[in-house]
Amino acid sequence: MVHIDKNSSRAYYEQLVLGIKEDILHGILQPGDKIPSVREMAKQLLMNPNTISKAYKVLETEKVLVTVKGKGTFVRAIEETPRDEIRVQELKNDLNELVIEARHLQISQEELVQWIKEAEKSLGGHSS
Amino acid sequence: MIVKQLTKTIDHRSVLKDIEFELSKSEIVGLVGRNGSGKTTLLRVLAGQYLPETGDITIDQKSVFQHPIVKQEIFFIDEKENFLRTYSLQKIAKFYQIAYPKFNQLLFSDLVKKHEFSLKQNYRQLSKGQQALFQIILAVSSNARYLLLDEPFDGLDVIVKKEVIGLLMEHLGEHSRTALISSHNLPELENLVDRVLLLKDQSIIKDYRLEEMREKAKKLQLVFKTKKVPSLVKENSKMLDFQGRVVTVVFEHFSEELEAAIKEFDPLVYEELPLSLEDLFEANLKQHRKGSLK
Repeated sequence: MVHIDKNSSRAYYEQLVLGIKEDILHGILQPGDKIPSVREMAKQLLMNPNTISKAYKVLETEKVLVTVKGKGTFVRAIEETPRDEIRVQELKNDLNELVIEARHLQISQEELVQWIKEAEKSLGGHSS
Repeated sequence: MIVKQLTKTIDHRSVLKDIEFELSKSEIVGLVGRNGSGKTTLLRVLAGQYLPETGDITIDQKSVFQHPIVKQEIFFIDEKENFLRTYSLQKIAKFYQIAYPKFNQLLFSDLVKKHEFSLKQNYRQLSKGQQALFQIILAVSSNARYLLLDEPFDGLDVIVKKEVIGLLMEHLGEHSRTALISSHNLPELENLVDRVLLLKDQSIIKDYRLEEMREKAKKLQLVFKTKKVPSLVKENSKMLDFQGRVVTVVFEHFSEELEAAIKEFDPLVYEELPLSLEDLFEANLKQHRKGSLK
């Protein structure tokens, strides 16, 4: 389940966004699942409802969640959503920076690839 | 709600001076300051229990002092001076129904039942935790737009505290209600509030938006080769701790330029630490001892 790390320098809403994405990849949340309303989530996590609603909005723009009026907010199937090429590019830039740092730290390419495999595995294996 | 130039003097002693701030719709705001800094006085003025010497409080451009009916939008229970003690919960609920015309009787009955209160009980028979819980039930049922809560989680055990916070968070999001919560429990407040007002020397000296602050501010632990801390660091940061060579500082407006400039000094240690509300509190309100940085 989603949890908030107060020691992280990441904004709470971003942690929430990441946590929900992770839950989806782990299969804890599945496409079509209804997620708790802002109000329920605020109660569960003992958090500011504004933070939660901000996270939900981000997830909706990123097409991870979809809100059906009067019904609630649901998890979208990943295949349904087209790749967001702008965000893919951003991620690639992030990765470039990581690779630079890795070189500095004398981390080999094999090691990096191994890490990626391990991370993929911990998310449930299936890579597309 | 707009608060302008509030000044309050009690027994010839200035307690509040030029207090100015705004509370927007749906905001949850923390009110923080050291003991005796005037938090309770400020809440009492906002609630209309004290009359300020100067200044005004308006809701939708209507002054609370000229249009007392606006007070129906403000909920406040004074922790020290309230009249609840001798009354039954039933009776107290009646008072609040009269004072708050939008009082949600259905919600009230529902919450009272859910938390297993007996309306025949007297308020003073309740434990501290139950009293706190009952107050929050009254607050959310009042349907007032502004909830002023004075130390609502103080002295509660973990279980009842979670109930109180959960109840509050669950109901605040609705009907765009605004809450101003005074508290000394900063780690707890951190999860709950959008903004923090810092009260010092009778005035509000800081108004933090926590999310922005988390992005802009940085806490660093630094060790320089000499015992002297570069003036660049002194001027741009507030010091939390200084022991031997190790200095812990908070930069409220950190930037890449600052980072580069600090690294020019070639520090032996340059470490980022997680920044908490407690750090900001200390950095702004601690009395600095002699021989320390500032």
